[in-house]
Formats: sequence, C-alpha cells, structure tokens
Amino acid sequence: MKINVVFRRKEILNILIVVSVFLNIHCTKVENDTEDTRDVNISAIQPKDIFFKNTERINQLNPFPGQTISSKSTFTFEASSVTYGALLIFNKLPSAENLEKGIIDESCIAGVSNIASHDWDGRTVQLSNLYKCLPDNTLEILSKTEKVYLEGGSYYWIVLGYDDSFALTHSSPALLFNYQ
Amino acid sequence: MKKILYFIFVFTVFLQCENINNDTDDNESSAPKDIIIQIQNDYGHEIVVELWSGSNLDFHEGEVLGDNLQKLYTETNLDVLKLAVGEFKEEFYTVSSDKSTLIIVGIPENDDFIYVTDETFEEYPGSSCVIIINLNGQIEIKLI
Repeated sequence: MKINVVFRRKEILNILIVVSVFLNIHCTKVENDTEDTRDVNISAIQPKDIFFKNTERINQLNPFPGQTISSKSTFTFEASSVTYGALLIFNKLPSAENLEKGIIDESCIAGVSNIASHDWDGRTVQLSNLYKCLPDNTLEILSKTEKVYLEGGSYYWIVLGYDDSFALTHSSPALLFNYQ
Repeated sequence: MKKILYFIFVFTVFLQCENINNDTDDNESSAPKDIIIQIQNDYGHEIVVELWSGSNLDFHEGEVLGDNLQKLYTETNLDVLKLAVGEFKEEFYTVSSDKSTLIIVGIPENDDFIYVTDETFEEYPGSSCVIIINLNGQIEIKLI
C-alpha cells in the first residue's frame, strides 16, 4: 500500500513537470511570436535613390541632404567593403551615362580615390583633402597631387565603388550639400 | 531535492507568464493631456516635415509604422509641411500626452522630398513644446 502511494506521488509529480514544461514552452512561444501588427503608411518623404540603379547602395552618413558644412567638416559614408572607391563632388548633377563610363565634365569640382593613389579608408574623407577633377583626361579623372578647396555654394556628392577589375559595383545617391 | 527543483521551475513559469501579462497592461497612468507642438527650422535649408502621432512609432525605408497611426496636419492639399530657413511655424499641432510623436524631416528637390532624418518623442517637456531641427540635422524638443 505504501509503495503504491509513493508510486502515485511520483506519477503526479511527473505529470506536473510535463504540464509545466508545456506551459513554459507555450509562454516562451507567445513571447517570441509577436508579429508586427502595426499600421503602415507611406511617407511623402523618401530616401533618395542611388545614382546607378544596377549597383549596390553605399550609405552616406554625413553631411545630411541640404546640410551646410564648413572647411573643417568630414564626409562620412560606408564603402569599406569595396576594393576601389571614389568620392566625387559636382556643382550640378552629372550625366549618369558618362559617369558610368568614367567620363566627367566641367561639373566635377573635386574628388578623392584610391584609384588615383589618394588616402582612402572607405569611411571618411576630410573636406581639406580633396583633389582637382581633370575633365579632359579620360584615363585619369582626378589629379594625383593638385588639391582643391571648395568655394561657397551648393554641391552634390557621390560615392562610387569598383571591383578588382574596376567595374562599377556600388553607388550612393547624389546628395546636395551647401558649403559656407 | 526533486520537489525543490520542481517548485523553482513552476515559479519561473509563473514569473514568465506574469511578465507577458504586464507588458500589455501599461496604460493605467494618469489621464492624458493635450500637448501643443510647434516646429522651428534652424537647419539652414528649406525643409519639409511630416508629423505622425500614435504608439510604437517607427520610420523605415520610407514607411511609417505604428499603432493608431495618425498624420497630424490640419493643412489641406498638402502632403508635407514646408518651412523656410529660420521659420517658426505659428500653427499648432495637438497630440495627446499618452501618444508618441514621430517627426520626419526632408528637403525638397525638384518634385521629390528627400529624407534627411527622423525622431520619435515619447515624452514631452511640458504642455507647449517646440520641435527644433538644428544646423547639424539633430531634432530636439523644448518647452516654449
């Protein structure tokens, strides 16, 4: 009789453990399964499209679109994954067709690139470390040595990324900034 | 020993379930108040602004997400509010103190509105506030 009672107690205890295991799993599941049921609306304010749609996006962190910057400012972006990169500054939007072929016109004011053997970490460029664009030179669009300093006005900046064979693989939007 | 372990286990289950229940019962604070909001453009460039009210607000890739989502403007035929450099918007926007406010800031470019930054405010410094977009693109809320 005593053996039977002990056996039953054990059985009840085992059942309770199974039930609590079930409850534990269930509660954890409820916690994890919280689907996003929030309302969704499209804003009229949208991130700007990248300059070359068939490439991967390079995010530009600073300056913000339309922001006014000074000579001590820094361009910040995310292009450390690309083999070769270039940051170019234009005084008006360039032709996408020409830029894709590596041809620049007079709208290109300044730039920096490790293709031209400039310092390049894929993340930051100091405004004081920009080189002159060479619009008439299709083989070398940026001077290797001649620095350039921006005049006050509005400009667009674009970051481009290339693979080992210098094919264009990444691009950012062309973002406006003001220089004072 | 087995019993002690069992009770620890059951107690853990109880606490876990209780925690889930508590997460949904957070609305029992004091009565909500009306908050007056104005906007000031100190960005140094013309801006466009959208103001959204609701809870669990978020802005991602051009989409506004939130519970009880509501656009706050009273202007008609305007998708966004335009503010010139240095302009302080005289109109008031009213939001309930128990709701969050999401402000999305952009700049006009041709026919588009280009995203600059966004910020969500869940608490307000007082009943009359001004949201300032500063020169660095940071958004702050202050008491008027």
